[in-house]
Amino acid sequence: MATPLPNVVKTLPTGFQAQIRGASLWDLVQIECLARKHRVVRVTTVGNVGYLYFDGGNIVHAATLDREGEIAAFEMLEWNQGTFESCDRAWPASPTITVSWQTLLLRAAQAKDEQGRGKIVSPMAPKSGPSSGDSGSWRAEDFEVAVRLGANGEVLASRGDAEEFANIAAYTARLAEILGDYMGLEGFRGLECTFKKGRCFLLKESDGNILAVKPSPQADVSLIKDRIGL
Amino acid sequence: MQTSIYPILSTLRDVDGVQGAFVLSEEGALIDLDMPSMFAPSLFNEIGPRIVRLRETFASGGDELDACTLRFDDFKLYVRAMPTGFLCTLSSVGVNMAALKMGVQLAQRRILSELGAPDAAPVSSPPSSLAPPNWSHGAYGPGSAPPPPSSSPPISKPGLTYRGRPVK
Repeated sequence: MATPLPNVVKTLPTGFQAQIRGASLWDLVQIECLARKHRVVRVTTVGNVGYLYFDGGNIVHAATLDREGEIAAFEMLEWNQGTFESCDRAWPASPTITVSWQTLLLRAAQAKDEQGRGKIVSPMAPKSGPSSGDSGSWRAEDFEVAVRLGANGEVLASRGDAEEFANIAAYTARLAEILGDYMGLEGFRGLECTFKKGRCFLLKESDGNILAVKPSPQADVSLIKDRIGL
Repeated sequence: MQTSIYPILSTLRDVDGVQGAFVLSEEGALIDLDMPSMFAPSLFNEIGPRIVRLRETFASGGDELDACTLRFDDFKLYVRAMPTGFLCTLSSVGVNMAALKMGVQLAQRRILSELGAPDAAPVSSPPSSLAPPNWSHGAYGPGSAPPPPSSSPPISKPGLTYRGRPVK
């Protein structure tokens, strides 16, 4: 006998799945926010992937490979092709975007206008809100690898060939914490390593995440050095 | 009893903010230290191997560690990877890093010479400004009173060798 159909039907999710050519993320944001959905949407474009977190009629968090917060949302809204779909993903402990979706879109439009200047915001910029100025701006060519790790070592965002670097950064951060514990040095904030060729930085952020960066040789590293306190 | 490296480490205190320094072998064993007395030599049984692993961690990714500055709330730990071990300096956060790096570079050359490292640069007698100061060990923490001179126990290094030669 065949398996009873009703049981199969019960397991199917409700709602439509759609493929709409020409739809934009701007439309998606408005639809999801007006529907007050609680969901994560994965947005994929060539060479990048990002996540938009919708809750209670607003976007409360956004993340791309190397950015978080509003700046990540701005980056995604710049993408002019790709796909999006809902997905299961861990939620942040606290929102990184606190403005309304209308304000967010207005700011995104403003950021788009400023995009012509050829600047992108540093991965070291504050998580919510754009960079405060040129001193906080890095160009894409300013770093070779960048990765942001959660408190448990999960990769929250990355850029470049970051898989091995993420492991190194996670273990190094742990070693630094242990060294501090043994020596009675409280409050590990970060480190700078110089190598025979190149250097890298680890910054422990206020929420416990670790930002690890390998800057390009020509990069101005004063910003991250200031943030670490080196 | 202190080794001949102790006076070299003491020169690093010429740099304002330096609280102390220690030298580790390539395997992470403590060779000598000029640290506040609260840092018992036995503590370095835990610290040494982890500093070695710090270098190994980056080496696994193809990066040869030259130096590492670890920033904590109130202190910095500056680790210089030498050809035959590590020279580590503990300082307050306000230390002049440029001066510290220069001091460490000079100290490293003399330490390598003392350890008989074949690739150590020849070292002449240090200028008087780098002579070991005649003062007690520094305090640990800003504003705290200097502790009494450390009665650091002799650092035994049984079997510690460098390229087949015993390290004194």
